[in-house]
Amino acid sequence: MELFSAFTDALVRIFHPTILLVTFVSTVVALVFGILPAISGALVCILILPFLYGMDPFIGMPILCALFSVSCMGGSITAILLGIPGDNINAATVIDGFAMTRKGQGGRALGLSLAANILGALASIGISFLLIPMIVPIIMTFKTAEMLLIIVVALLFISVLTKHNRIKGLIAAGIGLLLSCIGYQASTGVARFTFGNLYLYEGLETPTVLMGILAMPVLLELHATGSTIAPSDMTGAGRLSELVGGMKELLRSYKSIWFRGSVIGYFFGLLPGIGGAACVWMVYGHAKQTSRHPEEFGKGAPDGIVAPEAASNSAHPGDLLITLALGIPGSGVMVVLLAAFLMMGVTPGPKLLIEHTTLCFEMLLTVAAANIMGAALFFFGAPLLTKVTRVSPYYIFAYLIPLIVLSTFVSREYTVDMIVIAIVSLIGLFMARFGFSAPALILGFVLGKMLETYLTLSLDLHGFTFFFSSPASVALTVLIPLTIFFDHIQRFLGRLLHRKVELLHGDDD
Amino acid sequence: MKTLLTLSLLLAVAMIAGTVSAAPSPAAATDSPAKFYQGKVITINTQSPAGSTSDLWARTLAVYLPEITGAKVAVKNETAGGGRVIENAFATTIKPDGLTMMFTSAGTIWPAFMTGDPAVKFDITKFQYIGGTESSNTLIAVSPKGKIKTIDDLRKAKGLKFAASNKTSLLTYANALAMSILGLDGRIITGFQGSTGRLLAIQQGDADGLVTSPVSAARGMTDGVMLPLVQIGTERTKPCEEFPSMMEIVKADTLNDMQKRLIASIDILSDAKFLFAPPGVPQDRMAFLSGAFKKALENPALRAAMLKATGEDIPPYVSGDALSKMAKQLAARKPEMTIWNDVLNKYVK
Repeated sequence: MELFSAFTDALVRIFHPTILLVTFVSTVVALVFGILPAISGALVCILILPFLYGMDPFIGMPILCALFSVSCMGGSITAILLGIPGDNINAATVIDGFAMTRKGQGGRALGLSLAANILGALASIGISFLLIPMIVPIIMTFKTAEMLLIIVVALLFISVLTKHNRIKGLIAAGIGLLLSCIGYQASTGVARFTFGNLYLYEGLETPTVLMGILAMPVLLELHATGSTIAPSDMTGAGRLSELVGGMKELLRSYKSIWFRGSVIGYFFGLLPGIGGAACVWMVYGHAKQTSRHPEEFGKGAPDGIVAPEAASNSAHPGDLLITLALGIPGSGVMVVLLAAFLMMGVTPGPKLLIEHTTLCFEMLLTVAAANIMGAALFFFGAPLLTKVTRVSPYYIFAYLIPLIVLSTFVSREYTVDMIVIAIVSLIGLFMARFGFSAPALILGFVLGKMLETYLTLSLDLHGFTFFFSSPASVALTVLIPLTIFFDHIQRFLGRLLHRKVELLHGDDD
Repeated sequence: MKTLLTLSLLLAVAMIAGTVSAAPSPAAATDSPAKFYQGKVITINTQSPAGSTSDLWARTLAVYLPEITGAKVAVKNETAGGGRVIENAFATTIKPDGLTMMFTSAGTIWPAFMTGDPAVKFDITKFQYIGGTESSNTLIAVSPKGKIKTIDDLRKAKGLKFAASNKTSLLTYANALAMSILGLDGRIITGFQGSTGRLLAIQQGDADGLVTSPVSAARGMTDGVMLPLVQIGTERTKPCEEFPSMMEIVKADTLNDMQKRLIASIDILSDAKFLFAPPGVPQDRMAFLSGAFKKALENPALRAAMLKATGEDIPPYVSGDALSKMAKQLAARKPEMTIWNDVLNKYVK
């Protein structure tokens, strides 16, 4: 009853005109910043930190919740229309979203993305309300060894992403793992591959690598070919009806992959440390592995858009809930949010959910409200934005190259990042030219550091018995061969079923 | 053409001359400090990321210093190289005009200097210390749900695992010292992701204990997720003064030579927080800044804001001169600092 009363109090509060206004303004800001490449929700939250000092948490919280939860929606727009991920978690959307845009179906891709985003966010908020009493036991189950095994399972999706050429895929993943080794290694206190440059101590920034590997080769190719992103004869492309069609298509044909993407995304949001950048690639691999048309992936497969988009937006409520419940930030943006909470006098931790239940509900409901507002803005703005795909590539090139380089610089203000993006872009160009898998490199890069950290920790803590250190680790160990041999198992089961059906028919005869 | 070249040359000379004459020279500072700072922008750098304790300190000071100094105050998070880039810049390239300073804790820069980190290009005795706060002891804490409930349990336990993050951080050095002095059997596992990773490790049972700051210990106790046992220091300090210092548990005469040397240089584990400026800032500006910092710390509104933001009741003020003296005393012992690396390597495999 108390929970219900806290929920209704929060509901009344978010409909207060002031709260609605600040949520709306923050949503607009988040969408605009989300559209800018390499500028993440975390950076926007950092920029407004000074203004939050001493602010009433019931006003400050909606601002933060809207900023961090909606920016990835803006990032989807550039990922789909321009092939440039607005945020790390939009990177996987580029592969099929941009491919669909190049076929002149940008509006359809945006429709699929919008529906996956909004439904993913709303579903995960619903799950959050249900999970509040169980959140702490769930987190306590996933210790160091379990985290390592999850990362190993995620890495195995490299084999799915590189089915067409495993050797080149493994080379690409190896390059990604090597790039992740650059920087200071905390457990040994040793700096690696930094060449004495202190700016490289923190390693390479994920947005910088994403821009170099995914965006730059596309822009250079556009410039070289001189063709528009979408075929110029697709005059009707990008109409509102196309967007609505994309949304309906999800509800009609891709409910299952949307649901799985949302659940996996939410689960990854709950796990401190792994983050959305790795999760979206894992979900993308899962979608390809379970698709009836895996050969369509990379050429504009709708499930290649739905799965990562559902995962990216459903990770936020899980991430927020765990930060509130344990005071343990699960991602970079949550570290900033945690500081902002403290600045406003709200101390996250086990007592917050009990003592400030209304505030917690208000935050989750604000995430929902901001997503609805963001979706409305997205919906009405998308047809206009789609026109960019028919602009001359020379204008796009001239505008986006400086923007990407500047955005890369702005995130840390290190000159070295501009040199890094030039080098990584060359690697990206080489890979695109010779058919090496960009997703494999990115998955290797985003998981590399975590793999090393959790591997050394697991070996230090348990030795080689970490595979069997708990029931959860045993279950995950079993999942590893299942992931590797998924295709064979699927084929075997298919044959078995087919034979059974034939036998049944034989009996009938 | 020649005329054009001559004109260009003259223009360039004039511009250089103008720039040189317009540049303020610290040595030639004639304005009174109060007049000098009026309307200027003071930049407080911190090598910690946004949201960290040092960042919250800097941002709180940025709110309260303007009314005392008359200057605007900006905060910059300079995290490159784990902060080494900005620390080195303070020793080499930062202009000593009294408008650029850094907020940090001793534990972030002093151990790196003392133990000979090759990336360090600064000398802690050369910095000009504006002022700071007293150091508090770090503590060993365990999970309240674990088997270890007392110091005796801790000392009797075999194969202890302590969760640590960075091998060369202040907390890991403190952990190694405590293990040596208290005679604990076990090792330090490094690589956990920050304070949250370490806390999660003891809650999940991956590790038996950790070393933490007194503020985190107090908060962890309130939340029921941490049970502090002992302070890592020679005598008790606030805010967790109900817990004994390790030298109350171990008799001084039972220590071996190496342990005595470690205790003699225990200042290396100071977590005093302070503001400092690069060498060469005019003395009148330093005095003005020191006074302003002290006045800001005495402001009840600032103390309340800090308590709200960090959960920390600001420790007593320490003058810049006292900090400078401490740094000099510590630096004098630098040649024998290899013992700290020896004790660290003994417990971190």
